[in-house]
Amino acid sequence: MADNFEFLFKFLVIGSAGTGKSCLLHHFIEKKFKEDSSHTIGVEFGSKIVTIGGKQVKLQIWDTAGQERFKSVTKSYYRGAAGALLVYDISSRESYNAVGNWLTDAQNLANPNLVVLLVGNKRDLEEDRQVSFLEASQFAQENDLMFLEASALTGENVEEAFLQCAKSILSKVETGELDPNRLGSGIQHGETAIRRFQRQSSSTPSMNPPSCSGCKI
Amino acid sequence: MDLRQKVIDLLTLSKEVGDLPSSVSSPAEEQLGLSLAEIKSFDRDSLRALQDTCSDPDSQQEVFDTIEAGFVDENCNGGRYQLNKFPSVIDLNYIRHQRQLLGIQLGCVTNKLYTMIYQKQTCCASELCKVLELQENLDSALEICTSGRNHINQARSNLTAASLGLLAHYRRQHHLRKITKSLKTIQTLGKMNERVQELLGEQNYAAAIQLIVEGQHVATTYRHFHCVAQLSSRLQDTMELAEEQLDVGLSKSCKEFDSDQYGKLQQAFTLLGKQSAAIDQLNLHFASGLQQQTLLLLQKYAELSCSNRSSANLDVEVATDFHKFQFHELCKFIASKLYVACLSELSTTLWKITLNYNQIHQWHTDRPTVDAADIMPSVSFEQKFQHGRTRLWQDVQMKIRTLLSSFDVWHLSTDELLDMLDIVETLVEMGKQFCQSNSDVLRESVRQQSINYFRGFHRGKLDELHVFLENESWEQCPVRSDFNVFQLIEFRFLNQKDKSLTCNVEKPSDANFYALGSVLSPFLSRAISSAEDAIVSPSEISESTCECNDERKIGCGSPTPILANTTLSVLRLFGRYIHFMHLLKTIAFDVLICLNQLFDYYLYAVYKLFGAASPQDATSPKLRAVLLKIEETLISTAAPGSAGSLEDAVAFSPSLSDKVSCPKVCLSSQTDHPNHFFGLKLRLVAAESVVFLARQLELLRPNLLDLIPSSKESLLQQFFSQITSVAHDLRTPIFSFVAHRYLDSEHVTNMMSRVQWEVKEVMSQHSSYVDHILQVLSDYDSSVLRVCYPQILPPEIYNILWDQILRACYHTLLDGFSAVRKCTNEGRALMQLDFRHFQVKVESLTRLRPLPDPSIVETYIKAYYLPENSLEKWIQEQTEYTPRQMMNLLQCVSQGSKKIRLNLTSFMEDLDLNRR
Repeated sequence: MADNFEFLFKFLVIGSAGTGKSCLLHHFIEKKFKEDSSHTIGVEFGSKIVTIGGKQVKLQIWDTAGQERFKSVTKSYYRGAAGALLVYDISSRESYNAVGNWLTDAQNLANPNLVVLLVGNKRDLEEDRQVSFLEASQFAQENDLMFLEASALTGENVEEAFLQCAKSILSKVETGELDPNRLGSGIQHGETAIRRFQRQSSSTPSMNPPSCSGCKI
Repeated sequence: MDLRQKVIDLLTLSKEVGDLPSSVSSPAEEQLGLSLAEIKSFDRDSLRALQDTCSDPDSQQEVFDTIEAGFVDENCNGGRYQLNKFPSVIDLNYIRHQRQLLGIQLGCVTNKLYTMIYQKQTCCASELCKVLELQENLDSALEICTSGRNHINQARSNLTAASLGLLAHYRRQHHLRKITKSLKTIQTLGKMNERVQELLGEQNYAAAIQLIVEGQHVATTYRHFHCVAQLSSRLQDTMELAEEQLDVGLSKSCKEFDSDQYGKLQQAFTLLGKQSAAIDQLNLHFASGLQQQTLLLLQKYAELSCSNRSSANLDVEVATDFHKFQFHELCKFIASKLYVACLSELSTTLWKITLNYNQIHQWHTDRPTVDAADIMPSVSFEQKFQHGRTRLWQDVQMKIRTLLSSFDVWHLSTDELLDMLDIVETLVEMGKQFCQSNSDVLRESVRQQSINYFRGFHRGKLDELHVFLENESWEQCPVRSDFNVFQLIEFRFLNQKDKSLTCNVEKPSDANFYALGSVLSPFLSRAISSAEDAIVSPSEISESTCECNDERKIGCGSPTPILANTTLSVLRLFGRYIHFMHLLKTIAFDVLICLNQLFDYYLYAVYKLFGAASPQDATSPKLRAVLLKIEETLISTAAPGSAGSLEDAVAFSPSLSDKVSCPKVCLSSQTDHPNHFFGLKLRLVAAESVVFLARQLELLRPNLLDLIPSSKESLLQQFFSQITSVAHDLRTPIFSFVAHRYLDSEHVTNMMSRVQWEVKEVMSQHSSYVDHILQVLSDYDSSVLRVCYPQILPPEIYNILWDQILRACYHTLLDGFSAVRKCTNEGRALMQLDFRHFQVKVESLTRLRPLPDPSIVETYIKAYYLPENSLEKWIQEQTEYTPRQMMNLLQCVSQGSKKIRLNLTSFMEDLDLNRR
């Protein structure tokens, strides 16, 4: 039962309704397409331990409802997120147009170091494509976002999306750009890391254990 | 002849007579001096006389008559007879006379004789002629005979030699033929081995055995040949080989039953007379085949899972040699992802084995009618088969159990678990069909695994709930006003179940796993049926999604259910738990208890977040008891701070693994701040979400009742009666905090203390602090109403909020009044006036009816007026007031008289002591 991981990253999946956020998450966790999916009510949650650069990282992913009426509920989850997958539907211009607003929301509500990855979902619907790869790619560059196109149906790039995002966060942690001990960073040390810290702290008593997980808000 | 004999006798007699005189007479003549010539002269005389006499027949007859009988006697020697007749004194005359007599007699006789001979002479001659003729004929006959004989002899000798030779030849030929035949047979015998091999190769066992048996017969027949001994030993070898082949064939039958093939085998065994042994062998083969096949399968899966693992870890050394491992050891290598596939394939393999067994058994039950001679052994066959079935199924169960128990089920996803359960259920059903087995081993192990799994699942879900609660912002989740659990996807199975109830119930009993031509593994059916489910579902999605889309309904009129995001998660978990109850009927009640724990945990968390800081009396005793129980059973008490996160708490104290830590959330910035109305909105969401949960559980009650054993029903009812009341009780502590904090009681008591209570006249105007309180309450009302805007605050909440703030007011007023140490009757009247005014005004401010009982304030105020003795009684009766309030009251009462005060104080102290 005890999970062995070094870090816990809090992730968000945001984007307009019907872009396939839950399906992406479902595919990431269950490795299969969620056949009978309906609109998410409120916020759902999933977690998975992944290995990035030899490190076990637990991803705690909050899958938010895309519908406008849930904004009040979902926005409270922005706080303390380390990474976000901003999802649009390549076959829906509307969903792409909303990306800017979602990004603004995320940047306003979440911590400033939030790593955002833009995901163009439903890549399998190539013939219904309304948003070109280039256009979205440019937008991503302009806003300093990572970008890829994925398909929750085929599973293409699904895992990569989460892994890339996590990788980026991890590298930021390792370079010191992100401080896991800062409140609301969305990053926690896992059990293994804590054990190490405790070993270290026994030799250097001045060193504080990482932030108490209790207060994330 | 008689005659002839007589003649012969006569002749010999005459000779003797003639000889006698010559031999005897000589001495006698000498003696007597008688010469022969004299005698002869006598004879002549006598002859003459004789002739004379003889010529006369009469005289002849006379002569004959004189012949003495002694001479006639055949045996008489005439001479001796005559001699004997002579008297002792010999008288010559006499002799002469005698001689004469005798001579006459002789002459007569001779005469007669000659006559007679003469008479018969011609007859004799003719007869002699005939005799001669006869003799001649005889001679010729003899000759013919002799020559015939000679011929015959010749012919015979010639004929026999030839045929004997022929016969001898024939005999040899015959012998040789026999030998050739034997040799040919032996040759065939020699060739037989090859043929047998050929036949065995063609799997024509019966023919092969037949051939061998025949060969052995032949061999015994030709035992006398040397070469045959060798051949027969070779035959024996071949026989053994054939039996081995048969054995191999038998073991093949275990894997892949082929009626023809098996028929051949059985035919062969019948020939060998080993049917019974064959059944035993068959059972053994099944047992060993089962071992072997399952082992192979497990090896395959172990390698597969290992290769997966090693490719992930880039660890080549992991690839161990699995051939050395035992079944149960191999089980531990199976990767969780392959587990269900492995179980499924294992079950399929086992099913195939049992299927084969069944087919073989079937084959045997169909067959005995053919040969009636086997009726007796067929009974024992049946027994053997029944026994074999039970044994085989036992083996099957053991294998499955080993695989099941060696795996940590909680690594499985729910779908995989369901697959697993489905497989095992199918197996149980199969066991029932196979050997009327209850498969208790399987049931027990699957129950154990279900419990294990569910424990893990529940543990995980509690953790998840913990995460949800820690991240919960207690924002109201917008849902349709008629939202209830049944609209959630997780509860859809309840509708589906109703629809498909009839067909689902029959389904398992319907499937005959041993029906003829069942080639498809029953363990594949699950995939198919789940696909069907997928087809069914889309129609329902629209139904459940419309609840999200229809935003217009929200906030117009009818009260919307108030629930938080976590509430939804809990409801979804309810759905999954109930689904589990459906699937794991054996542990349904355990699941229900876990479901209860979800609710408990939620309740506890909400209380800890929002209700813990409220005044003591706001929490009802029942709620308090429930919370205490939850804390004992569910909440890990690991000191906060020592372990960072939940996972750590669990890892560091494994004994607490069944408990969860209380979610640690810092909402104080909102809940403590007047600007946020002390987090009233959050409180509202939290409190109402608990009530909503309780209400949804109430909706689910019939479903739950269906799922648990009837013996546990009363427990369920108890549980339900508790949650609903407790959920409602929870509102009070949550909102009372707001009420108590909203009213700044310190300010009020300060204002009250500044009021001049020692007035000398009855006042007509109420004090200013009352206005202040009323102002506060007025603000409170508008704020409260605003909280839920644009929705309407649920009346229950409104009432609680008002009730609580009024109670807070009462307490504050009581505090204020009791702080007064000096007071006149007029001052007391002012108090009454103030309180009355307060009450009247409040009635217009709030819709709460009835107002909380104001007697606590009124009684306190009025106690002032009581005479000393009834005051004592009053003090005894009251328990609501603090000693300080009592003392202050006494102070007021006893303002004039010190004596009364002392009395009452000592009385108070006594009372106080007694109460303790």
